[in-house]
Amino acid sequence: MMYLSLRRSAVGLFCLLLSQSSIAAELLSGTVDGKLEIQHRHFFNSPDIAQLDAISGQTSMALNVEYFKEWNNGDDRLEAELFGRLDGADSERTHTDIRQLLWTHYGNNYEFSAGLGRVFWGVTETQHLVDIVNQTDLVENIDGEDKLGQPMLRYQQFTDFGTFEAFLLPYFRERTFEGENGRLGGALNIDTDNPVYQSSSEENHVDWALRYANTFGALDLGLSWFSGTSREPDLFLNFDFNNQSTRPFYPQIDQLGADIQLTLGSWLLKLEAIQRNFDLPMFEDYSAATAGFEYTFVGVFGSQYDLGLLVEYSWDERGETGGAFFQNDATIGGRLTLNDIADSQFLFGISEDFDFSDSKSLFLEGATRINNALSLNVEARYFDAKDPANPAFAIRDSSFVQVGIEYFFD
Amino acid sequence: MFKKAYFVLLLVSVAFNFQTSAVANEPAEIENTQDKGLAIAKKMKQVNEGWVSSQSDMVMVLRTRKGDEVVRQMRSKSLEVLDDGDKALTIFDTPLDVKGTAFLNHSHTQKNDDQWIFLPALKRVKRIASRNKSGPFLGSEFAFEDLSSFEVEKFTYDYLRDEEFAGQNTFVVKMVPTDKYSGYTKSHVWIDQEHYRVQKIDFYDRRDTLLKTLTFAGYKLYKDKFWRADKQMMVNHKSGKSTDIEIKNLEFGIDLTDADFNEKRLNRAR
Repeated sequence: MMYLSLRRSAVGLFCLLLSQSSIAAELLSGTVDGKLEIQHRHFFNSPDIAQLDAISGQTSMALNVEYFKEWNNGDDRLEAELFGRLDGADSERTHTDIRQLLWTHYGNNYEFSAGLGRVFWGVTETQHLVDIVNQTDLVENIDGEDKLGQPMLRYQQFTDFGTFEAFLLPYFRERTFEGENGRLGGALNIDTDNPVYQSSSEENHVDWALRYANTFGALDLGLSWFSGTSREPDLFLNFDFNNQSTRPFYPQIDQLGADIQLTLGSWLLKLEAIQRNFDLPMFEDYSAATAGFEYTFVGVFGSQYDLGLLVEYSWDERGETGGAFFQNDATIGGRLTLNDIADSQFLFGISEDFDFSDSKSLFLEGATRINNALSLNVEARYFDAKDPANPAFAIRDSSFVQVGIEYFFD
Repeated sequence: MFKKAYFVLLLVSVAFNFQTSAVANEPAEIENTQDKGLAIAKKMKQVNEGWVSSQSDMVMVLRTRKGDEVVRQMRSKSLEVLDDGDKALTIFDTPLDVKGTAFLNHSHTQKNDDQWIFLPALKRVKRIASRNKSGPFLGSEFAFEDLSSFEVEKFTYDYLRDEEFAGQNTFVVKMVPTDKYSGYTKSHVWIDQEHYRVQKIDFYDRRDTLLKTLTFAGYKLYKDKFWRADKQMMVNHKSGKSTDIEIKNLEFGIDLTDADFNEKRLNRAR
């Protein structure tokens, strides 16, 4: 709903701009490019009883269009990115989003942005604890790397002793979840039309964030503070005589984050840590961290291939009952780069849960280029969990292989 | 996030600087072959001092043994740093799946370079390990180290002989990388005696056999001082593959400052 009204106001703004014909002519001189993707997922196991009519195949199509315009010698820019997916099986995954609609002014030692934007904070690969400004577009992919456009005012100051940033985030975006036909949402059928907020302002609560980042030789350091509506909802069962549903609850939080990377020769050492505080009695403050390394072997087996070894461990103070997927888990993986003309590469690995020792997951991501405009990608995930207390239990039957073809245009 | 990453770049030819304290004698007058080789290298640097900043478009053509071709386009901006290695920013235009990816290199004379890559789909700036210098650049026959800025301190030198090459008198100098992570045991470099321009390089692999040959063509004079080749052609003798790099629209004295090469502002690269 709120999302619709947001879209409406963005469209209104656009129409206002277009009504000024000289501005319209200006806007038409920008550049447009994008990509069209066709994707298919196949689930191997028969669905579990909670989902009798669950699907085994899921085909979808997605379109991404980007617009870019600069003026004042490049000191001012307008960036827009529109996204939409049409999914044949899951109506919740059929969705659109304004990923970006952002004006940025670049000063000598500062930048100011206003609009819908996207920022990334952090250094680790298996999860992104520190990255909190944008909401996760979870219905896109369970890896959590797709994000929704976030309304923001952003100011950055670049100094000799680091970069200082301040964000004002006047509107909240809800997390997206799969619908009843989706296989990766654990058959929870989350009622995204009826979220519950701690703040009486609900999605209009004004959040804010600060960040400091600097490079000290081989060390990159980021420190961040966020105050506002948690991007991560707590899911609760809503009992009602007519209808039982799972509803998302978005509490207010304060979060301190740190991300550190040390780059030493072929080694990358990484750490992300957060402390999250609540002011509700049923939520306990907690901390969580992910740490690990990457090491790259160049020209393995006498070939032109590079093999990167990736090891990360995640810990969460709330422990095995806290609801986090990565609460005492390690991931060991490899990144194989073929260094061929098609830029072929694979990332694969295994995650092991030490609290639920019968639980593991395997993943493989691969990509190669067919020609200048076409790319092929594959993704496979295998889940294994036997203990119903494990959050991964809900998707134990949802191992899948996904194939996508992307067509790029400009 | 795992989208292809490790592109490097900046061009040998666009990234020269010189330590002002060093005063080079005329190489032709030196007897000792090592001193003579070093003097030639310093002279190469010296004649290129003061270019300050530059930008260019690059077209890279990759050829397989069978003759199939793939084209890559990118743009490069470089900034001269007088008391250390230079800074360079490369932005990729094609193939379209890597469009907007930006690679930033702060080269150093005394330690490993600092390198960052900007991945536009994730708006993520990643710092990457710069030691992986012997690997291929974007699937081409150029290794990262073939494209990084020439710094006198990165090699030891031995003058071999005078030789006529492509109608010019050249010095032939043996260069041995000081970095043990280099993919080469040595290279032989043909440098013309009139303008100190690199004409040809033979690269020898770790088994000390001839691996690749790089030739430079179409030298043009910019700002009445700086010679730059239009084209660099690398042939791999073992694989039969080759890669050409063409430089277009090269300009000097561009309005570029340190801020354009700040890793925290890499998301600004377009």
